[in-house]
Amino acid sequence: MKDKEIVVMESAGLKVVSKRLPKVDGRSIVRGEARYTKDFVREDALFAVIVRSPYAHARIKNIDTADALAMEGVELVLTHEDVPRIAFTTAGQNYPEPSPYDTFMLDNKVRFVGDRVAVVAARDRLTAEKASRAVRVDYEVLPAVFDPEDAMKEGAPVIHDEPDATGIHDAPRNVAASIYAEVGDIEEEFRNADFVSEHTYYSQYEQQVPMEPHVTYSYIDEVGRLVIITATQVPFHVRRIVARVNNIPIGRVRVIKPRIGGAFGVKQEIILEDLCGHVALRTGKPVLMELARDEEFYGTRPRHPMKLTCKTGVMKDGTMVANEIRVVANTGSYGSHGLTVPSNAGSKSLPLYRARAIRYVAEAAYTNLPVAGAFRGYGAPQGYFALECHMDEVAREIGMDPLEFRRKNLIRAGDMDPISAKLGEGKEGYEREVRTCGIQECIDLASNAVGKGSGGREGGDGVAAGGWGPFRRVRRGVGFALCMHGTGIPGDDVAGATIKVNEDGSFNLLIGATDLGTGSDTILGQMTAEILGVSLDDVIVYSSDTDFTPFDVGAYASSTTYVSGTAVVRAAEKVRERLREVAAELMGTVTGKLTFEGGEFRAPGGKSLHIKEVALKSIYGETKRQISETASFLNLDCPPPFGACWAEVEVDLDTGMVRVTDIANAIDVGRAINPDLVEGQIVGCAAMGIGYALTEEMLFSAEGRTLNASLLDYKIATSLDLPDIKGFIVETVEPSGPFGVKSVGEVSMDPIAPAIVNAVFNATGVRIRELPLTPEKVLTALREAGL
Amino acid sequence: MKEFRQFVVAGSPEEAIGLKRAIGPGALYLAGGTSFVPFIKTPVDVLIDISKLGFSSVVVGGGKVAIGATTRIADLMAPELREAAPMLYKAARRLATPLVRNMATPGGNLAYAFLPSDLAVAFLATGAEIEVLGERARRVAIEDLLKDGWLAGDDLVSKITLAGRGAGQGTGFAKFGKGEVDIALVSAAAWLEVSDGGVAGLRLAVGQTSSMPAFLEEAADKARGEKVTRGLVETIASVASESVEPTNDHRASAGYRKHLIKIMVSRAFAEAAGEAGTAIAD
Amino acid sequence: MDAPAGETLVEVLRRLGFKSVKDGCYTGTCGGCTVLMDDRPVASCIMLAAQADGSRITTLEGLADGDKLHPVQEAFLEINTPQCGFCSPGMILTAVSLLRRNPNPTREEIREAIAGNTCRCSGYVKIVDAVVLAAEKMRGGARR
Repeated sequence: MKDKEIVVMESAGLKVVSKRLPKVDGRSIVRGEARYTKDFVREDALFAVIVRSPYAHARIKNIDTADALAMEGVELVLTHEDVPRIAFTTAGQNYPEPSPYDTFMLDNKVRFVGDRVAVVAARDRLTAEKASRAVRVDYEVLPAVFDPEDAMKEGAPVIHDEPDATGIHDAPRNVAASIYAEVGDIEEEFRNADFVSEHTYYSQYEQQVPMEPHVTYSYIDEVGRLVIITATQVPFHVRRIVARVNNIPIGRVRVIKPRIGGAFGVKQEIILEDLCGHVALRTGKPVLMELARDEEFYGTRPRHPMKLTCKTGVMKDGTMVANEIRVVANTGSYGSHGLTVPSNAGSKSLPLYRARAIRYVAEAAYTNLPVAGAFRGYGAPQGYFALECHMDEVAREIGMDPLEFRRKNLIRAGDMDPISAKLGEGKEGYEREVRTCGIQECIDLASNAVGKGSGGREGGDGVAAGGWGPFRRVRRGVGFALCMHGTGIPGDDVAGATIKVNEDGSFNLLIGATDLGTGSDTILGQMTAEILGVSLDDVIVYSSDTDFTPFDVGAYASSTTYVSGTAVVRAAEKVRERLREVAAELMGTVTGKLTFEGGEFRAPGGKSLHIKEVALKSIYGETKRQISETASFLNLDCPPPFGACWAEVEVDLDTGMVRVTDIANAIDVGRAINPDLVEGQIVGCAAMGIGYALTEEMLFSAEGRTLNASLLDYKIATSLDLPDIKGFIVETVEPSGPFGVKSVGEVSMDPIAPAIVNAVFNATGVRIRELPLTPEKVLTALREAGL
Repeated sequence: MKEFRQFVVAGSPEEAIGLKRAIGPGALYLAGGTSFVPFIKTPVDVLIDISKLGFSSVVVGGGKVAIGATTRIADLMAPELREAAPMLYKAARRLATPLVRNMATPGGNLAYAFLPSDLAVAFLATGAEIEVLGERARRVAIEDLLKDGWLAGDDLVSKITLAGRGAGQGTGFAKFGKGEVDIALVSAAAWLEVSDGGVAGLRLAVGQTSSMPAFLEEAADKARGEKVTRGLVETIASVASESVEPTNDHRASAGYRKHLIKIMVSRAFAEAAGEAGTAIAD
Repeated sequence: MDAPAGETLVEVLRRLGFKSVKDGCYTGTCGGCTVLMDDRPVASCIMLAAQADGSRITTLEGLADGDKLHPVQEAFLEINTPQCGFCSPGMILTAVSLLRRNPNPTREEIREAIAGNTCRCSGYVKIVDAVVLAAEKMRGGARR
């Protein structure tokens, strides 16, 4: 990978940024010294377990906790009668959250199999689990509904009939959210188009499956404050929400995010912290809560399944005049992210193609299934699966080469993007200007890397000594997809950074920004070091502790590098200015006469002082002071990164098994602050996207129980299931971003599934419009096509 | 934490069997433990560790391969065994993961044969003599073990003996899962002996998720004396898929499994023909 | 040392302070709990501690020699392989065991060896790159 050329549009004399520096936490990880949430837990901490509903929809008539409480080692059993009833959303979004407040810490109704019923705290996990089985619940079972379109029909059981929920679009119709956005006059454009084509696609519940399950540890410290150490993407939202639902002041809560073992969106949520904090407050004792792996599947926040109908009007020469997507989203039994994810399915995908009229319509329906939430891409992978398969189909229908058809209609640098302005996340959107667009370079890199017999893995299918000869018929094919995404949520993402000078010329960088393993600690440290003219080793990064680090919305919406990065750059520039003042004093001149280069302040006449010397003098010199500067940044823009994926697949015509034999994912990220870490995102997203396309889906029984809540039955890729994924970085140096960055963590997901589905079509002539492309599904389609 | 009361390291087979007989279903033999330790839900009284009874090695000699029941499955993949018993590598290489294979044992894999056991399917095809200790001590052909209701009571498998590979013989193993690392949705194993271009002997077995393996005598018999052609393979595979009741669950429908059985049997057969040195005629 | 019969090996190790051993799934399917038992990688969450009696157990904490890292650890750092790092302890130990048995593995052989160690972050490319580099280092001729 390191030999791959990075296509750079502009060179820069950068010394720390752009370098493949080792992660600041790398050494601790490889030595086994990195500390995750569970590593901080005291031996004598309680363990609390959630009692969960076996029914998809029921009222709780009575809960008898006497037997459970009588068991030895049981500390506490709580039901809805014992906790505050305060409506909230579990979504880790900035306040005021655009999700309905339809959830309660513990409720008198259950709405999916696995919903919270009660909590049991005991001296250890085994005791807590035993006691949870001794809790007796009387339910009044209600009819349940599992299909989002059925849920919105007349006569469907009403899932949220509680009077104290707010923010639901139409509760009696089970509609959590409803979206309509139009640019131009789309019906007119359809009427005048030479050709109109419509297709419907279906996407599935997909689970993030982080290697570390959700885990939260709460205790009361020596001055009576509630301390929560938790695996979260959003420490500040956790603090606010936990305080609110526990009726305590925000200032009485401290939230710390240590190392976490992956998130991908599923930890952008209050899954355990409200309840764990509550048990700590009630008992005064430290409490650990950790989800078992099966709970991790049905008790967290998988990807919203969607039915997406794409309709496009084109002229004979291939010009797109009208482009529309209509979505029915299944938001599960609570509305967390129920407006914003469906909104993003359109707002991230539709801008890719210039059309005179664009329309996006979406409804998010409640069903009695697990709660959907934030998952890398946040609606865009669903939107692009549909859109980029549809574009392929339309191109073929009008007899045009699929890549030529795209090129003819792609958005370009210099264009405005009007549909984004109509699709703000619960508020007025911002009209976006596309200043940098490296999609052409992405297309060149990805298309040249795949399908030329240039690699990809053989093996798999156990092709053994004898071989299977005529009894294994395969076909290979190549497909592609394009994409663009966003960078942060305009008008909403805010980040703060504080930089403090130490006398040895090291600097403490305090950031709220949340490193999920993504490396944000490292790259924000790199930015700081670059501006201050020091090395990364001179920057001491401390992040995600609500007592010490400035406010930051957290790691989501692909905002950290751009938004937190801007705050860091501003703070570093302020610190450099303060030190420049000291340097000027020390050298008997004025700041305007000093230049800064190579870490040195240089005065006319040859005098110079290294910034480290200035730092020392700032603290111990004549005029002693502590230089420490804070800056914050509210993001008002959303510059799109771009991407292209080319995939080669091998389809086994006898079993329907699809294998990706070669794949290239090329992304215009603006600037790669640390190319190693950016490559890690591009390749990691591709691996996840392959699972999304081919193997990952949650399956439910007729009663709404999750059937495959285990790693045995929910297949994520092992090292044997993937080719050597090729990732490519393109840099276009975005003027609005610190050092030219845009983003990488979500855009890299978007083109993968459609590229694979298009490749299967190329291999077999069979078009499948439902994810995932399981072997059984593919075989059925092959048979229907006579293969 | 798993709910076990007592862990006893048996010093002799008699001690292990005596303890099991005395306690009954509340006692479990433990070798690798990989089949049940992760999944145990109800408390177990006693675990009887049988891994130190000396059943942990493989002996090749006298035209036979004798496998101790508590040998680590990873060791069955040793290069030294590939000549004498090529089926071992084929069946073991996709059995769970390398981590599991470093603990799991063939005895344990047979005892939990309904998962399905890849080794049980493989041994039914190659033929194997199973040595069982206990009240019903016996040395029995594996297909007879299947007919008699498999293992029960204090049955303790001590040794599995395969015939070493002879001239004109070949094996094949085909496993289908949703990914490379998976419990078999469907697996198939074949053992073939050819002479004068014709089938001298064929043995077939099929495994499916959550089912005991099936030994397909009827399908295999149809091949005897026939020339090894593409048509024969297809016919036998079809008969095989008709003779097994396909399971139906959320992992795969009955119809799909039925089809997979045909495909996997044909692939295992073809692989065996290749290894036996016979080209499949059109 | 004494342990209750039902305690798994990962529980005992973590209780003794070896926090690098992770329990991500409790069913032996993710590999986060990998330790070396007499140089073989095993899943410690599906083993009872009692089954380790008499064997030598190595966790990641025991790999480096003071400040001197094992070549696999060095290689992981040089390639910048770890993302969230949760799979890293298990992955590194499995790689160490592989290289002891096979000093010159192909990329395919590496993938076979780590098939029981699931990584959700990386797509495995930089993991394989790191093991290839570590093998070069251990054969005494690392050029990058």
